[in-house]
Amino acid sequence: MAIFIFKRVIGIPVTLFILSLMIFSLVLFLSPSERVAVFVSSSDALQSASLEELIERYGLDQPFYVQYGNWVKELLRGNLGWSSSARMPISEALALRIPATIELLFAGQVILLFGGIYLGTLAAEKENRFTDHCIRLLTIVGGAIPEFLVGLFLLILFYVTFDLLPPGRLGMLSTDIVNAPAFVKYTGLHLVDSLLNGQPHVFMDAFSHLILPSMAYSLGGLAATVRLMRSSLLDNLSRGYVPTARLKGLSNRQVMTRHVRRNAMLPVITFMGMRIPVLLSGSVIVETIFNFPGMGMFIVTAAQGLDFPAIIAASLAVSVIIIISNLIVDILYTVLNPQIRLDISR
Amino acid sequence: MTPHKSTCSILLSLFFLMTCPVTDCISKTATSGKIKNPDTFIEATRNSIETLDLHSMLSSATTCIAYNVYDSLLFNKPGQGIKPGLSTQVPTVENQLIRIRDDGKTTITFPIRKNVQFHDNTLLLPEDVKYTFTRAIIVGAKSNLCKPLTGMGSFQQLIKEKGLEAAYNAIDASITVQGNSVTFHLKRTFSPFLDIIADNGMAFGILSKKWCIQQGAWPGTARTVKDYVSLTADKNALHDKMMGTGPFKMVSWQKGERLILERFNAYWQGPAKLRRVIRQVITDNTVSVQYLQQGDVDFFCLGLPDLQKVQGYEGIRVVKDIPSSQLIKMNFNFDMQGKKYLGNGMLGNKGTPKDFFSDPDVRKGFCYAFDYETFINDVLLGAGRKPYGPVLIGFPTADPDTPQYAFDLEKAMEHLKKAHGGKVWEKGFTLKIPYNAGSTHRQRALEILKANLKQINPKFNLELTSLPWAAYVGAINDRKIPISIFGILPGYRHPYASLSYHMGSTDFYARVEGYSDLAREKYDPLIDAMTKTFDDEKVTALSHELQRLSHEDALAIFHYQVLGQVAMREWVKGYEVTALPFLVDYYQIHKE
Repeated sequence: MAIFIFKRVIGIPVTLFILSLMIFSLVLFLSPSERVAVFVSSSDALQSASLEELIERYGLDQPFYVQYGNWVKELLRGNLGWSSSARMPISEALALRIPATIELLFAGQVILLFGGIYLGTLAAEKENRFTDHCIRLLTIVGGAIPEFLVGLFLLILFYVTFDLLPPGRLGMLSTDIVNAPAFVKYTGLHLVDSLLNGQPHVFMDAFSHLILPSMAYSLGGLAATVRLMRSSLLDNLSRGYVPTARLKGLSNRQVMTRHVRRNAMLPVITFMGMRIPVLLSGSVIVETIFNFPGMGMFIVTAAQGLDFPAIIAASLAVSVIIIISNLIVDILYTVLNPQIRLDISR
Repeated sequence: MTPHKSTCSILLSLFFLMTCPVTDCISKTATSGKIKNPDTFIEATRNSIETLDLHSMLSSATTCIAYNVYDSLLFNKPGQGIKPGLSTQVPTVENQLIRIRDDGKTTITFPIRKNVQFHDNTLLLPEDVKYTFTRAIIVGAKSNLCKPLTGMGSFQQLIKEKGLEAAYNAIDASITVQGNSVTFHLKRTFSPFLDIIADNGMAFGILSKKWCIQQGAWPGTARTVKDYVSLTADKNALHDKMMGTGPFKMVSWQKGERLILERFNAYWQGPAKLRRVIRQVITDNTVSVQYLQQGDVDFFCLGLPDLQKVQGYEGIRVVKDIPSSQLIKMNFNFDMQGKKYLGNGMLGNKGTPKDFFSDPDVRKGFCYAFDYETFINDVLLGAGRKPYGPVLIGFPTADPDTPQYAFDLEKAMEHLKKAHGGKVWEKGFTLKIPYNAGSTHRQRALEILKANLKQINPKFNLELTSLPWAAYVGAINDRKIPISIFGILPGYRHPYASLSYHMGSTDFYARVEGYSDLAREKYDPLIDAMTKTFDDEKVTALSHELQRLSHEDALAIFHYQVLGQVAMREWVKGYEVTALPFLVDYYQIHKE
């Protein structure tokens, strides 16, 4: 297992290298004067610096390999550059935005996993009965409604009407606590940092702010997960090992929880792994609707402003998230079914 | 009921709750009665702050923060005219604080107010004033200061002309400190000077020299100047800091999210009523509307489509149709560079010559071919007004009697038939015109123009294409774009602001649209004369003449002046309507 993880981890830099090379090449299709405009906020600002001077300063007229080499050199020094769209160093921007997206991604995956397993199992157990029909109806509707509409519904319902779950990432009081010098930001994840700092109020506040976006984020995927879980369970229930387990004296519940559900979860886990890039791309809409500043909004703003250093860095960061998530998915396979081995000899 | 049935019931209830017409379930009564956060004012904004350095600020998102954190030497509050600020008097010729020599050289002296504290509780000194204005020219490239003090449009130009050391010495000598006064030595009479610096701290607020140096900003010495010219945000020590003498001090800036200000209790005019101000970035207007309805936001500058979402709500007040200081125009490029947008560079269906717009008949034809009314009514949904000319409606000297272009295809045809000796009509033209991606206003305006030109003559082709914002700005500066859509956003009310920017030979538009020669010959003498007089009548007459010339030479299509809308909770008191609707004077605001 350790060797497998090691192999996957050392593959990350290679993937990132190829990706960075590709994005860098695309950026160079723009002329230096088009790229230097990133550093100029308005025409007035040009009066303090000529385009030529800025092009020279940032080396934008250098050959591709020189520019790429300079970028890699700075990267190795831990300097990802300046994001003109976020108005701060890129490393700082990523440190602010990635935790928000990870929280959202994690909460969304939890809803997918537990909601999908519970409702999928329920539907399979009550196949073609009232409960099954209800769940199927809900999942079809849930999957058909676009994310932004779900988000707006949830916001109007739980915030505007009932004033229960507000948008944003934290309330005013919690924001003050989090930004106070005494509050140590260990991870940037409010849920984790609040507990480590002994601030249960902040934890509850962060949690309440996470409920709606994560619901909107995962509802479309939940529909598919439920259906996948249901069909996978039904498939496993018809297999030979189920009567064998029953003959051994196991109860229906024991057969379901110990054998059938574990096996049925394998395609669900695969699906969840595949959903991660979809969730990341969908985060833009959810983040905008719930005013939840994460990577989605950061990438869109950077792309709109042709902020190429930020685009490259953000793409690499997203790639790392996807690679690590897929690694976790692979490891989960072996946990769920010990018969599956991560064959390292191949 | 079994657990499964109860699960189903809950799920179905939730489903029906969500699918019922939720919007109808909500009463049109927004949260009212109890004031939320009574001593905190929360303003929602779509635009995030680009920088906190006073001398690098350009957008409204940033200048309105400076307005509340800094004080300028003079104030210019709505309906009050120019009043003393950190200067105890308004300089005039009568009180001899303005002295004009026979050769035109002028000195303007400001007696500095004593016992004014900065937010770090240090006292304001005349040296702070000198440092601030010197830095504004060197680091901030404030051309409207540099020009009257040195005769050059920018510090860069001055360096090119005289060399770095002499350039710095010229700036240094133009602002002097005597006792408790600061004197500005102008190369020649420049009447808009007081209007320019009376900006309530938006660009010419006073910084603390000591504090700036402590933060790593320009140390105020000649030998360090070269390191601070052409300073970009990533190298700017004041990018995320601000500290002034204004009624509010900055507490924190979470970039892209929010900025928090707190009342400065030692403010020289007495503390503000509000304890705290939060400027919250909310990129989606729908969310801002919901926040406002719930009372979690107090104020929000909204677009016309959002108006109906808040109008009529109990507890919400809407102010609409505010003529704002934002005039948008389509600028003709007289001397297009590069081949990217010109095709083969000849008239016909494959291109256009680079001097296409140098012919006044082409420009006039285009001006008549634009359907102003359709654009304002159908594209802007009424949130705009057709301007009289380059001076904005609501500003002194804007002339409603100046001739204006109206949509008239026959007149357009008449001019286009004469253009380039009749060759334009005969051969036609094909121009590629970019707009910045995402700007539907720019796109629709060009589409209207394209359709109307095609209607006049099928050989007239505009090909529209989109560019990312940065590339769009870059291409304008490279003078590549045949028609750019940019605006006039005057920072002060003297007509010089608009007219010089639009028509001055060394200013932005003449430079990037290639009409500097024409401007030098026809407009500069009038602009120059306007700056030399303190006589309002003469200023008005000259301004009217320049507006007439702008029409005569058809430098641009003036298609709209933005009308602003704001919505606020009714408990917000003290908001004053100005030409900058987004600008809130937090000092005047309270909640009751």
